[in-house]
Amino acid sequence: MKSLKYIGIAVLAGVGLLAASCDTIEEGDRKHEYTGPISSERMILLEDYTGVRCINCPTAAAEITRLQEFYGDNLIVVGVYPLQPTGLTMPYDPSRDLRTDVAQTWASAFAIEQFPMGMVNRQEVTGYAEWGGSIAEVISEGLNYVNLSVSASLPTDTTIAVNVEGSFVEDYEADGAVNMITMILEDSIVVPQLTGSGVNGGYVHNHVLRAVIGPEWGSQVASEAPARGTAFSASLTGSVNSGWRKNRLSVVVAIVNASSHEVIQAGIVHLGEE
Amino acid sequence: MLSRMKLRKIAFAGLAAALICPFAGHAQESKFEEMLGRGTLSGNIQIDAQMYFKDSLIGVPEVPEKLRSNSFAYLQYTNGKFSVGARFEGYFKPMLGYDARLDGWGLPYYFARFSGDIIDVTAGSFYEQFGSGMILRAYQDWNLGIDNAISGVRAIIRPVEGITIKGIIGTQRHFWDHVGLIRGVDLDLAFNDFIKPMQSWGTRITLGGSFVSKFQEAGTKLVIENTENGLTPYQLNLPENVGSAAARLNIESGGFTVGGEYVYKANDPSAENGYIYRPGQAILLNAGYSMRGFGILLQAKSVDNMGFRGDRAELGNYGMINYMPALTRQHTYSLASLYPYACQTQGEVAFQADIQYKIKRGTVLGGKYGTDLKLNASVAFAPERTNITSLEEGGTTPAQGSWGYDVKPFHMDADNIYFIDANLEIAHKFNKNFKMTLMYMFELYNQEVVEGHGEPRAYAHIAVGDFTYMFLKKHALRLELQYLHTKQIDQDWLMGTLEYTFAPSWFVSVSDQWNVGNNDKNRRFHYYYVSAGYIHDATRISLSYGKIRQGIMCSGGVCREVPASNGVMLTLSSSF
Repeated sequence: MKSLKYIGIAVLAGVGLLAASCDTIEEGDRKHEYTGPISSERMILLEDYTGVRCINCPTAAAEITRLQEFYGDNLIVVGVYPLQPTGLTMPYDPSRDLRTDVAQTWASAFAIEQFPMGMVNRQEVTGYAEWGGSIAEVISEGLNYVNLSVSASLPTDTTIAVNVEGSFVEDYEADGAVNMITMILEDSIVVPQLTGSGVNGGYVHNHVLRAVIGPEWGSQVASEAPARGTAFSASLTGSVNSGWRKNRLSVVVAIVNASSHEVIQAGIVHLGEE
Repeated sequence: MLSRMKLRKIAFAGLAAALICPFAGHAQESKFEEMLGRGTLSGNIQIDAQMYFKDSLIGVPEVPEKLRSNSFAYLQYTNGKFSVGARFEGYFKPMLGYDARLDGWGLPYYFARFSGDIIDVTAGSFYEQFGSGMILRAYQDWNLGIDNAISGVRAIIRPVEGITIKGIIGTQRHFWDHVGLIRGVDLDLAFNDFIKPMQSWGTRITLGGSFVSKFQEAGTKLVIENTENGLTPYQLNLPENVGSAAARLNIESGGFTVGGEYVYKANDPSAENGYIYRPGQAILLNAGYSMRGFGILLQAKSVDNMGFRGDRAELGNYGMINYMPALTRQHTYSLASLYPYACQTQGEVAFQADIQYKIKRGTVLGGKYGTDLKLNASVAFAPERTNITSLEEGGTTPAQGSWGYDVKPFHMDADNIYFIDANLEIAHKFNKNFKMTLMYMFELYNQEVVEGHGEPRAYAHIAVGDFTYMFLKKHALRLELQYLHTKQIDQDWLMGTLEYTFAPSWFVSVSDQWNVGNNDKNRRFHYYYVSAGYIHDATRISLSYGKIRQGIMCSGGVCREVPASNGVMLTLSSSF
């Protein structure tokens, strides 16, 4: 009867939709050894937004360790500890607070309110399961616009001096001026952290962002669309907090598009190498 | 190419011109104007604005803007079978507790619709639900900040009475952008309406089925594993098309109703499930009986790996294509909803029993008006997973790119309880001036699972007394007393609310939520709150001042975090 005809049409449409728009991946086809490039002249900056009361953040840290082992010097990691939300960031020991105002400024700008979340070259905010793929995609692009050289020293107990020299090896045609952000990091900081097994008082935090030298969004080093051959250099001086261990400090320099925030090159230098 | 924002602005200007221009300065009323004049304009608006004062004691963050606001205005023009509408939204900045990605303003929702007797077509934005929503639910919840409307085309065909066929295709709203491509078809058969012999039956049978598929480009998903060759990178082969199917049946006879729905989702590796390849499935069963003065409803639900999103990398409450119905009572009393349960789309086994009985009036316990009894109990467990394919010996986290684990429907890990809620409510009206509601509730709350941190088992006893006394013709005074006792989380709470209503327009209330039993005496804070408002027809305005504790707000099993706040809040809403 008529009703059956309409039912039949609908069922056929549904079955057809399902058959045409459903990819079933067989067991032997789920993963293939990755054969793409695993290194590049362009350094990758991974910023891990985290908090000491974030129970899943140690899992993200483990993923970072795996990525660092694999990509080596090609990957630069910064641990960013915003002020909020306090439910995830409030320190268990107020005297050992890893949070910074600059971290909160960035978190607010990128709308990061849950942890762990991160950014690879400040392109997209994603969970830690996506970071490996994002890094691979950047390396696969094979693009490098800037050669960068970074050096740093501690002329006094309370100051750090940073020298940066760079040059554009390709035309960079994107909109926006080019800025340089200079960060001071500290490794091996023991601060209580919430884990799946409870609060770990001996948890070791690495690559912790301690401060930014100069403006939070960086200082301009090149105007819009710098051409190949454009060179820049900078000498900066920043303050070193007495509570920081100088032999655990590093300086990370990120060359960024001031408009899109994309990190187009990064460099790192470790002070007090063992 | 014009950006989406510019396109929306042009569309709004065109809509406004279409509505306004025909009425502008014509000497004679044309047939076109006459036709337009037969149409109706309707809509609603809401403005929520909050001013924040810093309060480090209760953890209120610094809000540089001091004042934040969430607002929307919706307009719809309907003329016969044709309607157009648009909704403007503005978040200047989004209020605390709402996702910061909402920041901005624009026209995220607009449509044109023809609703004929047989065919109903929508072009633009629409909300839709297939069955219970476990396979598809595009909806908006303003209080949660959720809006996953689909932008595309929807066709609803009703060829004969009792047969409804729906087809949709479009992309899903994701804050101010769109993600994924969603296609779906749904068939609903009310047999009694189109099978003549069944039209006289006392038993009604409805059968439904749905197919939904989403498309997202695979991108690069890298997994690095320790192998005998050292660290080895693997690229996951991600399905770009993920399909799901559902079937549902409902039978009603007399006061009895029994029904169920089954949903199957094909392999859908995602950030939410740890990039495993096992399919997902969900089963929802319900049985009930109702008659005058008595009703009972029994429900059971088994869910495994049913997070279904337009963007496989998305986490949290956003970007869901489907919706898992809550099998818990949605409490309205503050302390009863202090620790609400959120559906675990990755896996849960849940049961609920709800009994409502009215003790007849004229009896000893019923009194003059009768007494309403409501008994409700719900429980949710973790599913029992076996054969977990973990990279670590005895590990509980499935390896990315693996099948994941094995699980059978309704097989639960009885030692891993997510939530228990057992409550009894008694409502009685003593006379035309005085009525009372009493409630007792026992709760077991797995804070670790629901909130991602905290107590694995928090036990709470909650008592509520709600008393309303009407004096004079339109004046009513309501007193609400609540007490929550627990040894976990923040320990005991006491809450009192006094509300005065001058019907039908005015109300004012004061309340205090006091953390009276906190083990840390320095944290026994008072969260006082004063509120006043005016209601006139469909317009409501309220002004409030006070402190709100950090917590969670849930609606239908979906929750969002509510940060602590201290300040003034204004709410204005109106419909026309």
